Amino acid sequence: MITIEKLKIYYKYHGDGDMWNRLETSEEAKIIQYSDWKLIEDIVQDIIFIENNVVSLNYKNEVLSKASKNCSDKETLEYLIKVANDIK
Amino acid sequence: MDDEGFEGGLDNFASQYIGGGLKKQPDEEDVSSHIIIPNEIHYIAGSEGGACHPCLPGQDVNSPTRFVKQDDGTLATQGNLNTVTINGSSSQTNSSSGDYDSGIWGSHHGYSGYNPYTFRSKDIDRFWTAVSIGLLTDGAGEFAGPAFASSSTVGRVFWSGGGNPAIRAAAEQFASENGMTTLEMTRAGRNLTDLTEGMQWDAARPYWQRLSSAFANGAQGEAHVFQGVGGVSIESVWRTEYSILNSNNVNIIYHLIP
Repeated sequence: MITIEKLKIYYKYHGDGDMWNRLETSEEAKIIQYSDWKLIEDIVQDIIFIENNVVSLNYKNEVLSKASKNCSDKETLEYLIKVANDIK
Repeated sequence: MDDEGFEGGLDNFASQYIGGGLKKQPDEEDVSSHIIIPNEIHYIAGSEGGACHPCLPGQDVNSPTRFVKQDDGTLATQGNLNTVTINGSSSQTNSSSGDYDSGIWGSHHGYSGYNPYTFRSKDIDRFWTAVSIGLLTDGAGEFAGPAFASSSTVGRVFWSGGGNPAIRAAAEQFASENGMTTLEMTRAGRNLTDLTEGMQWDAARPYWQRLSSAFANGAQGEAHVFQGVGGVSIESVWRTEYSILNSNNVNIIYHLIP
């Protein structure tokens, strides 16, 4: 499940997984695992595609559905979209 | 392993940083560990040999100062000064020496115009950023020099896993088993890892980019790179490393990890 806490860590490293591997603190390691990172990254990439109008309406709906199902609440979903827009 | 060029570069820097700019005092503990673990660093003002002499307001330049990172992220100084916590108020520093530029933060080392001992906000990361600037300004210069490039024969292994720790682990295992090294396995890499742990991406990335560029520049013959089948992040420093290896006609051997 994607949470604000996990998103903040992803955002902190600008979605750069290699740098996250290098710099993450022990506290961060307790919060986010690679599976979380990959899930966030996949959705962020899809949101960026949506923002760039390069996907179909069906694909867009699938992405938003996937994002909604994997975010803990509406606030998290909104933050996820903000993260995607900020780092694209 | 014969990567003296790389390690020697850091040692040269460290000797300047600790032995020149930061003179150890008889009654002080060894400060060398504080290069590696940036939660506490000692700065000995009034050092000899043309080193810089920044000090805090009201401080006797011959008094040692200890900078300590607090739990709340602020910076405190301890030592002969009364403990002073720098918590957001402007705190200008003094430089008592006319030869400031010959110090570790000066233009002699390719970096001028920024005094890391000037704390303008509670953004303590700036201080540690300045520390790493010093490390890499000197370190990378040493690493990238001819001695580094010519003396190193150790095979170099690169990795880019998009966050997948298995990629890095595979690269390090391969390096260990074949007498090679990844950047993070070198002393410079270990030090930079400790120095930048938890640092903001945009602050830490340039220093990693610089160090990894030096590492890539030292590669000769062939280099191994471990990547995930999912591809490489567009932000990855591998892009820089690849450009360097490619332009140096290094044969890149790819290892794709599922």
